[in-house]
This record gives sequence, C-alpha cells and structure tokens, in this order.
Amino acid sequence: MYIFDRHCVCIYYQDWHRHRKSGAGSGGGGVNSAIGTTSTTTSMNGQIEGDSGGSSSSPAHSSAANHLTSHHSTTSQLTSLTSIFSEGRMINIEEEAKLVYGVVFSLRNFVKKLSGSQDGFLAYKTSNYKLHYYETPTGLKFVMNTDPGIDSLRQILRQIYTSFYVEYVVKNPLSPTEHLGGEGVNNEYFKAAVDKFVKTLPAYES
Amino acid sequence: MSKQYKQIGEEIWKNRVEKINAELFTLTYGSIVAQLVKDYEDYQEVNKQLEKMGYNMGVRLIEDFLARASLGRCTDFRETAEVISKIGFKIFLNITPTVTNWSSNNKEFSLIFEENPLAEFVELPEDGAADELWYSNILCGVLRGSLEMVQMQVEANFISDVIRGDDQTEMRVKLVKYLEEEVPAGED
Repeated sequence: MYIFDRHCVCIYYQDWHRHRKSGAGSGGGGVNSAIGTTSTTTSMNGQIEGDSGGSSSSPAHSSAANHLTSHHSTTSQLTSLTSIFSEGRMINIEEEAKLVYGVVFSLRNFVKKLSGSQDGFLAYKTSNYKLHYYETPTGLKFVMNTDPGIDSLRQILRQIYTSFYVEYVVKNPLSPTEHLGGEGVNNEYFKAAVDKFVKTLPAYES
Repeated sequence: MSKQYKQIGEEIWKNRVEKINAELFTLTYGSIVAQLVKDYEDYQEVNKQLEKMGYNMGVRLIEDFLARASLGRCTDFRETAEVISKIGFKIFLNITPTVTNWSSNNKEFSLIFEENPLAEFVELPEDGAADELWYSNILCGVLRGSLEMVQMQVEANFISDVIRGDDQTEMRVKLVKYLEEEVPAGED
C-alpha cells in the first residue's frame, strides 16, 4: 500500500508479502486471495536480496527500509514469481513509487476528462493484480495492490484514512504537515494500527 | 440543499464528535490571546500570529473534517460557504454562522456569528485594543488553511466584532483563486 500526498511525494509504503503457492488451483474464487503486491514482487525481491547481499540500492524513505527488512523472512519463500518477471529488474523503492504515482495520476486525469464527474477512477485490474485507489479532496492518495480476485477495497482505504491516518498522523502535533526531502510518515502507532487492521481483513489470508 | 447540510451537520455533531467543556475551551483560548498580547505588545503582530496559528490548525483540521463528513468536492463557492457554515462550524464549535452578503461575482461572502464561543466572558482592555485587536482572528487562519488544502486560495478577515462594541461579529471571506494541482516533475 502506498500513500501519496498532494505534492506527489510518496509518504508511506507498506507491504504484506504473501507466499503464493505456485500454480495453485485458486479455485473457489478468492480462497487463496491474499493481499500482496504481486506486480512489485520482483522489485521487492531484488531490493531485499540486494540488502542482504550488502549492496543495497538505497531506498528513499527510512520507513520503507524498515518495512522491507521486517518482511524479509517471508520473501525467501517466494520462488515462483521471480520467473514471471525478468530477473535483472531491480528498481528501488523511490522509482517504484514514482512509477505507481505516474500510472495513477495519468489514469485519474484520463478518467476525469472522459467522465467529468467526481472520483471516476476507482481501481484497475490486470491478470496479475488489482490496484485500488482512493483520493481525498485534499489530494492525499491511497493506493493498494492486491490479488485480482478481490472486490473493491475503496471502503477499506477510506477507513484507513479516517480511522488511522487522521487519528494518528493528522492529530499528531509532532508529525510534519509538509513532507520535504522524502521524510514520509514515520509514526509507530500508524504503522502498527494499519498492519493490525489489514491482517484482520477477510481478504487477507495467512 | 442547505437543509440537507444542516441535518448532516447536526447528525455528526450529535454522534461522532467528542465534546469538551465549553468554558474550558473559552478560557484556554483567552489565556492564549492574553499571553500573545503580553509577549508581542503590538496588536497587529498578535493578529498576525493568531492568523498563522489558525492556518496551521486549518491545514490539519480539514483532514479531520473530511474524515467525519465524508463529503465529495463542492461544485462551486456558494456550496463551499454553506458547507463551512452548516457542517464545519457545527462540528467543531457547535455554532452555525449565517452566510450573507454575497458579492455580485459570487466570490465573496460574509459570515455573521450570533454567538462566538471563543469570546464568551471577554472584555478588551482599554489601551487601544478595541481598535486594533481582532480577538477571534484564529478563525480566519483556520478557514484560510483548510480551504488552501482543498485547492482554494481565500482571504478571510473580520469586519466587525461584538467585543469591540460593534453590533455583530462579521467575517468576510474572499476567494482569490482556485489552485492548480501539482504535477510531478517530468523525467524525460
């Protein structure tokens, strides 16, 4: 999940890597559906392998680095997915965030020009993943990538915004309002609460 | 339309807002202003500081407001004014100032406050404060900050204030322009 602020800076990134059984009969529509950033697995893999090898491509945000290392254990199980993408593609987190933002930004403008009404762009789906998008009128953008089988997570993203972001980040007098220099949201309560919340979602499977 | 806003505002106030003691709030604000006056000794400077404080508050307040009110974007400035007075002020101060005096181009309006919880029990001192100090100037800053976060640049200032001896407390809000969204720097 990514959060972008109104200055097009990625202020928060967290992922819940899930171990995907290779070629799993994911029948029963969504039984195996898990929240994971499938499209970004290689970059994550590349990043983490780089880290463990000591040649880290420096991530832009310290908070991102914390998440990467904390999920290190789960990624060692991911074998099947690396074959899908070309091996050498190691984009670091900053590039990845920019790519995601670019996609989202262009799609949003495109949809706005076509439909004209509010909040046209909700989500998009490919054969590998589904990207859910929620934007507040203040320009804060919440992006979540999941399995293709999942229904709209927009309400969930909205809930993350109202119950966690507003509570812990906005109401924290010490957290910066303008994120200069890629500082991002470095708030323990927020991280912990969002993590706990996501893990209790029905779409999440351990 | 406005009746709907009123209902929304009241419903949110009743259910989803933690309430604190009004007098505590009034007295706290009073002591803030008193301290500022003592520190700066220049009323214009105090006005500016209050407005600045309000601006910082407004920047965060708008997120809280959007989270509670779950409204989409307002279509025009008139709607914005209605939402501010009926829902915004209701949620945070439990008052509903009236929106009046629209300018001909619909870019300015006045908010008339019948009761001002910030200025209960307040008397201004004799030494020229009545001519220079806008006691509730923090509200102007709050409006400016919060509207700037939703891409509207406004100027807000008080025109009259009951504690100064005028008939009513009136704030004038002026839309300067709509702000453009930021585009990420191209990397071609």
